[in-house]
Amino acid sequence: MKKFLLEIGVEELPPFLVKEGEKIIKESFLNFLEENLIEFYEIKTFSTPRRWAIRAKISEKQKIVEEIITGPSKKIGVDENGNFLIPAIKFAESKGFKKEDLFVLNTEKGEYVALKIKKGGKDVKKILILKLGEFIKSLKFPLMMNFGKSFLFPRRIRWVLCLFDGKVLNFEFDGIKSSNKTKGNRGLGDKWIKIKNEDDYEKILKENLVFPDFEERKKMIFEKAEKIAKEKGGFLVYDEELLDELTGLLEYPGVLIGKFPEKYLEMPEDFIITAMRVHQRYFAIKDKNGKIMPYFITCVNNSEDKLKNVIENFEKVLIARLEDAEFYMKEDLKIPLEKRFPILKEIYWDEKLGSVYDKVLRIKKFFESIEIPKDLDKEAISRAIILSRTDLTTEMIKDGKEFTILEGIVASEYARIQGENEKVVKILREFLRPKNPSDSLPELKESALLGMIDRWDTFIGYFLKGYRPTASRDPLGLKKILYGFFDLLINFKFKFSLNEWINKMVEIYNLKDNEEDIKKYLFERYENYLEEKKDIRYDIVDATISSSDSLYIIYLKAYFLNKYYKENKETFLSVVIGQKRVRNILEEENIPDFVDESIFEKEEEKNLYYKMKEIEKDYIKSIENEDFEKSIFYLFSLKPYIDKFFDNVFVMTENISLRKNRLALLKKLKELFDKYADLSKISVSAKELELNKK
Amino acid sequence: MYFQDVILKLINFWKKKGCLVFQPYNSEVGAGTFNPATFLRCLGPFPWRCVYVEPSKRPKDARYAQNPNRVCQYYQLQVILKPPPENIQEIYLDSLKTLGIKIDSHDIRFVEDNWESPTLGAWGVGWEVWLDGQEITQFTYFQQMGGFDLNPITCEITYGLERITMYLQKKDSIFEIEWVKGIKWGDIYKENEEEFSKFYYEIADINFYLDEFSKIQKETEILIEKKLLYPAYHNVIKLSHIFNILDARGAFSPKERNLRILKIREYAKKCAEIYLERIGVLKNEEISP
Repeated sequence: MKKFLLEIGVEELPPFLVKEGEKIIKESFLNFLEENLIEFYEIKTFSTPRRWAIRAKISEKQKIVEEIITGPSKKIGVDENGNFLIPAIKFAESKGFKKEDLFVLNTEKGEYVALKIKKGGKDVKKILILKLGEFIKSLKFPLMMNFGKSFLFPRRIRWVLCLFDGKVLNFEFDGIKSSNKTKGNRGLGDKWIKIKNEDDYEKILKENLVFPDFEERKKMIFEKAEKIAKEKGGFLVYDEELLDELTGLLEYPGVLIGKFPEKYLEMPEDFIITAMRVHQRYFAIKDKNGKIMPYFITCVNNSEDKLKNVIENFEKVLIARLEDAEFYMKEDLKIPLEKRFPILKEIYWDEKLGSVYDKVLRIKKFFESIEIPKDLDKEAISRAIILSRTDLTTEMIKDGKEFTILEGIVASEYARIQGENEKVVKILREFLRPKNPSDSLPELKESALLGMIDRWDTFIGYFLKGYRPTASRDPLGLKKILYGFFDLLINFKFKFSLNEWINKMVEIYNLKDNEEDIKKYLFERYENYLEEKKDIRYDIVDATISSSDSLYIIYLKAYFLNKYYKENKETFLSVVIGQKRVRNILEEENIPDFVDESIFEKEEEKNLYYKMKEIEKDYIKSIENEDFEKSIFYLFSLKPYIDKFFDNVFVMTENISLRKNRLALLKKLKELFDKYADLSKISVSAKELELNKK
Repeated sequence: MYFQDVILKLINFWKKKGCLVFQPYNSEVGAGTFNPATFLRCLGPFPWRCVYVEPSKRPKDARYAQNPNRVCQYYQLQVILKPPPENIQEIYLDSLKTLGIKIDSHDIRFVEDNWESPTLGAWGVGWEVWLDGQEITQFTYFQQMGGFDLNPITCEITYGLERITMYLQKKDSIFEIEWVKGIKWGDIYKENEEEFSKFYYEIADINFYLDEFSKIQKETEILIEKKLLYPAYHNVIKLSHIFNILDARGAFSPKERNLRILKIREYAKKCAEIYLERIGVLKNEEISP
């Protein structure tokens, strides 16, 4: 094995691409090695904003593999005595072989003249020289730029360092030549640094203030920041996303602390943290009571000792941003939120669906028309609805810069200052959550309900204007909106009537549409959601979906059914198969509604019937009480009786009254099941069927 | 170092690097990119290097001279390099050294900031250059201008002259910058800021400017029709500034705002098209309608 080192030096990468690109390069390189029959062990990759690198131990020679290649067909290449003819010999010679090496191979397409050739065994060094340039050119990243070469790359390539077995591996592509030179931290000036040995790579870079290992750098930033916060008697406000971004922005993990005048602490905490975080990428510190302190932690790409005297520069920049926030706030508070409500007429929400003002009015109407759970504070929600989007008219949000992410929070903070009731303040603060899949949910049920209605309005509106996203194209982000809706619905156990919600909203929009289509579309999304987020089989949801008018109840039923399925696969599947049979048999017309006990002929008929009667009451009660685990217990207790029935009773007998009675029994059985779910909708794969037979 | 010396040093630096010393445009622009020396010259295959100061006028940044960092008129130093030299970042850092900034005792960072101008139909990739957390320069490799892919690409370096000078002179406010001994930036521009703030936010007559906008629009269409490139592009610049005034006055709903941007972009694209046609890159029939 020989040591190998490849470093691609680039102009500063976008922070998100540093680590992501490292992964892409690693995977691509592993493929490259495999394709070229190069064996390796010990592979390590590095990434900083200015470089990606791979260090590995790789084989000196290619692996040798045997391969059979075919030439002309037997008809052309071999005479009747089995002698190889000229076309066959030419084929052998063209591949560097002799007549003696040929043989006839039977393939799917017929018999052919063939050769067994050996691939590989070549000098790896030569292959690398030949192919590494193409390898680099062929790399694909999620973001690429044109920089005047024949290929695209995320940023301009400035150098390529490549060592093999302790020596430079010279190759050239598109005017870029490899060498054994790299560069250190920008702060040290623009000079070339020689790497003589693959093993020295990290050491020499660190001496030049470059820590090439992403995870190591990240850990160092975090530890230094935590320590420095503690020294001030506070705690670092941890922010993983920011930490990753900073690690992608720095080659050296420098950390400094600065302060800002306490007068800014009068502003809402979120304004301060946003001013620090979004543009400046500073961390905040809180004291042990969770109150923000007048300090910030900034990361720097140079050794801390050299920068101690310039911390005031960092302070000045932050103050300018805090000044901006203060200016906006002062301007904004001149107009109370309530008076901002009509201004929403000027802000359009959707070309076809009107202004934000229209949207809020619809939400208000809808809220007033539906049934609201009794434990909710209706008055607070009503008030919050009116104020809910007013912050779109504030300077803070309109600015379109760092504070825009505070939508909802700005309304909430201004509401607090203007003396709104605490609950209203809190609803405004949280009703837009979850803003993204990793965001937390609101705490108040009131906020959740407003959030749901808001999303419901969006969903119905988009649907009515004919918007139908696909899995790969959803420019309006409807999937995210519906997933947020489902998250809220399930976590807060909202049991509203789906039909009511659809009808009322469609009525308010006053646009015609087939309400069944809306339902169908929504169910499809719900099935996707439950499969993706709750790991519930798609068809199990499908089976329960028409048994209730409440999405929450459907979820509960599907959840417990799925749980039972996971724990008792065999029983479950056999009952499903039974239900499929029942469904097929029941296609006959004129099945009576009542079972006549007096004409039972077989024990198994009677037993099934009596068992059904025995559980019926408790089973129905358990469904009414939403005690679905119990319902499942009752239903599946029928299994041995159903099995025995089918094993011993012939339903489709010639005797009409017997047959009708047996069908009536099965119809009743199906009705019982259907109260929970239509199990016949669940698909059973051939493999599962096989499993079931055993 | 005085403000005027910062300007002179940088111009001299880039002059030595082979840049033609150009001058600002004579109508209001939001950024030096609007100057034909950038917008038109980065189109097509011919090499081009220039440096110029451009007053940047941004009505929405008006703060009644109350914010130490934000004003509605400041100066940019624009450097255009087509094609960009291999070590352009290092050359740029050298330019900071001529201003006495010691790179090794500061935090210098190139922070991703991909630039886009919806009005010019242009975008590029690049960075904000940070000096101790302060953005002092915008550094962009244009990829597209007027809707056309660029080949070769052009590098645009835009220095915020006041920001750098505040930093060099250790001033907390733009108004405190010493232009030259005894004369501050604020002595020259404070009243200007106050009055223009009042004008942009309170006085500017929305109806007058809306009317102006549509009149210039009509004229621009005629100029484009007649392929009078420079007057047509001059109108693009004027429309853009009127748009900015109306925007500061809060005259547009977001929808209308978008429509106006699209309109200006359409004209900018047409100008780029006429230019490319004129220098022989595009043939008339190649242009899709």
